[in-house]
Amino acid sequence: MERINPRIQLNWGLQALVVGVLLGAAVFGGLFFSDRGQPSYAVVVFGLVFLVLLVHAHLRYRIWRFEVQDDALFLHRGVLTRIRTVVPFVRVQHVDTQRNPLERMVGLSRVVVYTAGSRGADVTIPGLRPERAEALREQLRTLAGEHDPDDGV
Amino acid sequence: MVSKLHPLSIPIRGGGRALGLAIAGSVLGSMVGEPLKAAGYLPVWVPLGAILAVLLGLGAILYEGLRYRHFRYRLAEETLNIDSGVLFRREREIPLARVQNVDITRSILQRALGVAAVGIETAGGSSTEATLEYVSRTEATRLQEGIRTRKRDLDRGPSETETSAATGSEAFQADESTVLFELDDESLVLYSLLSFDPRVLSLLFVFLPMIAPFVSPSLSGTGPAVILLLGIGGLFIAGLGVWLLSAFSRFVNYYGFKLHRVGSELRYERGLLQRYDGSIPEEKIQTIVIEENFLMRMFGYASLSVETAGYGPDAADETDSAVPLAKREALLEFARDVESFGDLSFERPAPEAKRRYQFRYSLAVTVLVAIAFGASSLIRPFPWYAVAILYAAVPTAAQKKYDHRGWCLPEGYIATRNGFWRQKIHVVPNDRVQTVIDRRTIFQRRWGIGTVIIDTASSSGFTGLEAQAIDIPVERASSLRLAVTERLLTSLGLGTIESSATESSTESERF
Repeated sequence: MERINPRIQLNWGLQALVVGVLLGAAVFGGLFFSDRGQPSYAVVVFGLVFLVLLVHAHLRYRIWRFEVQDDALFLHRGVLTRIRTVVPFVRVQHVDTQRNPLERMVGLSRVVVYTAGSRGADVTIPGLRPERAEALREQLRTLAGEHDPDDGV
Repeated sequence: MVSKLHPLSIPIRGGGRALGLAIAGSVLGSMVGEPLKAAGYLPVWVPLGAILAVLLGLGAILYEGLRYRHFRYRLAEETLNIDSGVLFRREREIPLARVQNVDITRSILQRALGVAAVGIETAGGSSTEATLEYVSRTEATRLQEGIRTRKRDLDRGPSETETSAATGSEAFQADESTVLFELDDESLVLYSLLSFDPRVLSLLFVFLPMIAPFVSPSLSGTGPAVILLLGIGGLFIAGLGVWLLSAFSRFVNYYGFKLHRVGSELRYERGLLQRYDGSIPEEKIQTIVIEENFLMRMFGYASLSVETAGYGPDAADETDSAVPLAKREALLEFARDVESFGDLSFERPAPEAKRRYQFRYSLAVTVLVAIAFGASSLIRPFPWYAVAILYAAVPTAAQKKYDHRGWCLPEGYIATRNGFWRQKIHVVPNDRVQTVIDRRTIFQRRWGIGTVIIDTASSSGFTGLEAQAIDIPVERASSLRLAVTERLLTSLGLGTIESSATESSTESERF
């Protein structure tokens, strides 16, 4: 089982910061205009939200695992709800690598695997170094190509 | 042969639009015209509204005329080619092998004029791939039939023997239609009364806010007992109304339901006012769903529908009904005729699941009691503790929920069962599985149970109503996950050991 790059925590940590600031600002606004309670409580809200999300980000990284098996891609993830997904190579329609600005900042990339399924339509592996993402994409593409083109639709 | 739409398309499509635009034009005209006239920029006698109405109306007709002129389609050997567009030209080639369903819809007006709308569904996307509005009735049937025979010939081409062996040898020789199922009047009425059309609920949300303002002022000054009685009575009447409306909607939609088999295609027709006529290629079936609500179960009935990857004509209804209502045994027999799954003996969820449901329902009742207590002490005292009687129902409710869940693996298929009020049995052919998802929420992990979701390309998966084995022991979940993946690969001739070494012929059947 392969783990994802620890730098992804930076990424998720930044997201946690943004969410914390937004919620804190909302609470601050509410307290400020209603003149009930101390507007400084907003800092406490921000701190709590940020801390919880930070821990969540760390756990999320610790739990994330994936493996390129003989005939399927296997993913294992989720902090509160643990999700294991099996994507047989036969079912892979195409594979992408993507990088959003945040990921580019920390030098990471993600691989997105598409199937014809309605639920698992986009299986994403985040937190990969660009070289690893490229290699994985190529590997999955080759494996998907080796198997039959029947897509079950 | 390049074909054009029916010329009546121009008035049918244009008429409605022209009327709408004309009304909008006349309103706009008088709104703009009055101030202009008052300021003296425009002579008083100029009927600006009428002029705009005529212009816009004519514009709409003209546009439809142009659309008609530019719309061309051709049913080729392997594709359906459609060239369309007035301002933006669009040329499409739809591979016939990719076509899922072909639907013919005719409203009352269109039936009187002898035209029909043809919808062609392909996999993927959340809307109909192509619509031909409108062609003549005979042309619609020719298209449906033409697409079917061409698909059959495409299928036959490379692997003739296997396909015909798989579908039954006489199915291909005799392509005349055989009636598989017909809903007689008695069953239609029964179906209307026993089933529930979820679309009716949306009507309720439209009408309730309209009625509410008339009801509330007349209630002021009455005692709480009266309000309570009125509330219960109102709920009862609303429930009855919804039920009758739903029955009416079902009756109108399923009037004259008939299911045929033509070659390897299922064809259904139904509808009193608006007539639907759809085709479902058997090899495109993703999942079979056997559904029964508690009313149907009481009388021993069930209904059967098939799911494809296409976007059906009644998306709100999730699926194409294959058999709206039949006795359970007859229905199962029929279902096995379409997909030959064997005996369905379901394995129940983990025993822990029952305790989980008990816990969950007890919690829900506790919340209700707390709400009642709150209301009693804050608004007006009443015997709030009476609500606690609901605790008595918890064990039964949990047991029922538990009893109606399950999963099993008959030869060649994966079957799951869920729901008490509305029980659904999903039967998924092994080779239709796309991905397998094994989920365990934090609560499930506490009980050592998990849920396995079998994802297919069926379009109803978007609504989360797919095959799921819920709350099974974790070790069963893991082995089910492995078993389903294994079954998918073997069904495609890709055994795990000799992986991708042999390309079996079974694949062509399902494509």
